[in-house]
Amino acid sequence: MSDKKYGTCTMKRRRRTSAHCTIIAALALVCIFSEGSGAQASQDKTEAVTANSMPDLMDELVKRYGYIVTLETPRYSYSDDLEDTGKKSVGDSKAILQPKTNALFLTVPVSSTITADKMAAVLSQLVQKQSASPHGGHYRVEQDDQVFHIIPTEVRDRSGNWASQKSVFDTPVSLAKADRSSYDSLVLVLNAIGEKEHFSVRPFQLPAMVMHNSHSVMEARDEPARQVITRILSATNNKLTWRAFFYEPMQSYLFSVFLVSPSAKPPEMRPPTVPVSANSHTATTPASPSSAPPSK
Amino acid sequence: MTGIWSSPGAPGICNYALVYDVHGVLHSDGTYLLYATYANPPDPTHCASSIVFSGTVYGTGCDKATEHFSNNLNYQGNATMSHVCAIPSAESKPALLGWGYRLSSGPTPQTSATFQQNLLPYLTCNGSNVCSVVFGWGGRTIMESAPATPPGSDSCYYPNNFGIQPQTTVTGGYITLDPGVQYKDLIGSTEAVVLFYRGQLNSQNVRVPCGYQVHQRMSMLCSTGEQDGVWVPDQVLSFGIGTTNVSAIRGPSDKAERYWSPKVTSALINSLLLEQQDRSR
Repeated sequence: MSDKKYGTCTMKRRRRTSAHCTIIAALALVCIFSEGSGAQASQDKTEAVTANSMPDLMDELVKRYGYIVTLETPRYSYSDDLEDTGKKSVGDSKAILQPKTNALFLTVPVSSTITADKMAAVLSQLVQKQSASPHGGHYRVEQDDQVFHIIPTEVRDRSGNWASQKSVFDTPVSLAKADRSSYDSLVLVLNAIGEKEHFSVRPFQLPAMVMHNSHSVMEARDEPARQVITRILSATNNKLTWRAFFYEPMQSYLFSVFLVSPSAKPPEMRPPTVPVSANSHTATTPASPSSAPPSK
Repeated sequence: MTGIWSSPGAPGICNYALVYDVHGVLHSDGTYLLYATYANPPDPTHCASSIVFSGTVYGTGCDKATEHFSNNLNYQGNATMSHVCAIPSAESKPALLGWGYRLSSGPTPQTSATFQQNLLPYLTCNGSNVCSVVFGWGGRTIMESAPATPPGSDSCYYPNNFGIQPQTTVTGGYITLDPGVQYKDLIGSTEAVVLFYRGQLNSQNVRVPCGYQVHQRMSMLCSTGEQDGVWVPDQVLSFGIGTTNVSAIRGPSDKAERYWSPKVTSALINSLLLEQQDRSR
């Protein structure tokens, strides 16, 4: 991963690069860099995307590039990382403490088809931008083949000092080998995390039809929960991602699963290899199964 | 498995079009073994009286098959078979199986209603419109998606930074039927979502009574290059959250309603708090 690959609105990449920036809305600035010609140039074109929060920006990246990117938010305790949105959202006077958000923008490839390495670079840029924001935690990106995980690493404590924070999804869990629905396997893993950690992980928004109708034989022996969850969701033959948000009033994680791409079809069932018969009567162009062998 | 096989014959060898009786078995892994018999063929030295077919059905539409045949005249060979991609014509009226229905080993949320519906049998009909063969749909993949209609609505949702998303479209996705003609659909939310919108997770924002309505399209996948088959083009799914009840409707189904009371939720919240206290000790 190299930041050199990516331009920004305020930086020139190379001599031949020209930037065309168009303001399309008060909050959105789209920059398109063009360079050279041909397929490579098309892949190298970049533009800026912006969103009001890291999760929103992550949604945009998932929608654009179709990779599975999971997100776990940290457990906030510093007052400046939280805000009372009671009045703002519903005109209610009750306190509704929610994580504070920061508007972020990234420079990303224009092409919707990018390699896993490029996706890793985009996500690396995302967590760096978030780390430089005035509110919220620090994160790292972990890649598991074609799946990316955004994992919290540090958050400010009640006094405002940065402190490391272990992800609950690093917790090793075990599952006895059995054929279960994806929902059952997932709930067992979430419960197993809750039994080992101080925080519960509760199923929240789930694609119910898929998770209840699909099943597979699943087993885990002291594996990080994150890996086991990835396996469970992958076994549904759907492109699913998950989010875990820490809900401060309940001191629990709310765990949701979403479909990444409704149009991504499961793989086609391929024909099996046909055994070749050694029998001398085998015809390359059969006359008919109901006939005698064709005369030579 | 029984049926017939119409052989056009083989010009210059077996000059007769014959209709064989067929019986055999199709296994769940797609492999099959069929026996075709014709008791007294007109030219028994050139027309077979018995043939054995074996192979594997494949393709997303289960509409292709490898074929190896051998007959009593010591002739054998390989071929392929294909068929039009079959799709259901419709589905039965959804029947409520229950709330929190246990689909397999674990409990499902008490606030989700499980509906079951049968894919109406696919019949093959001859030229005289006599229909005989009933399809099983095991191994086929069905897809839930949002039709090209206006999106649904979610009156429970409010902007938040907890990652809770408005439920204005179906969750969508693919299911492989296993086996048979039925599938299940859950309409509802997890208990945590109901508690969240009832404002009972630490007395926060009360949104009830509220609910969501989404549009659902159901289709069955065929192989690449073939059009997928739609049997439910657009139906509405509804879920309501009240202060003491929850309700669900799937298309033409009857309204399913259950009491899920503050008392129940209080008990649940108390158990959660006790759980947390135990952990922090």
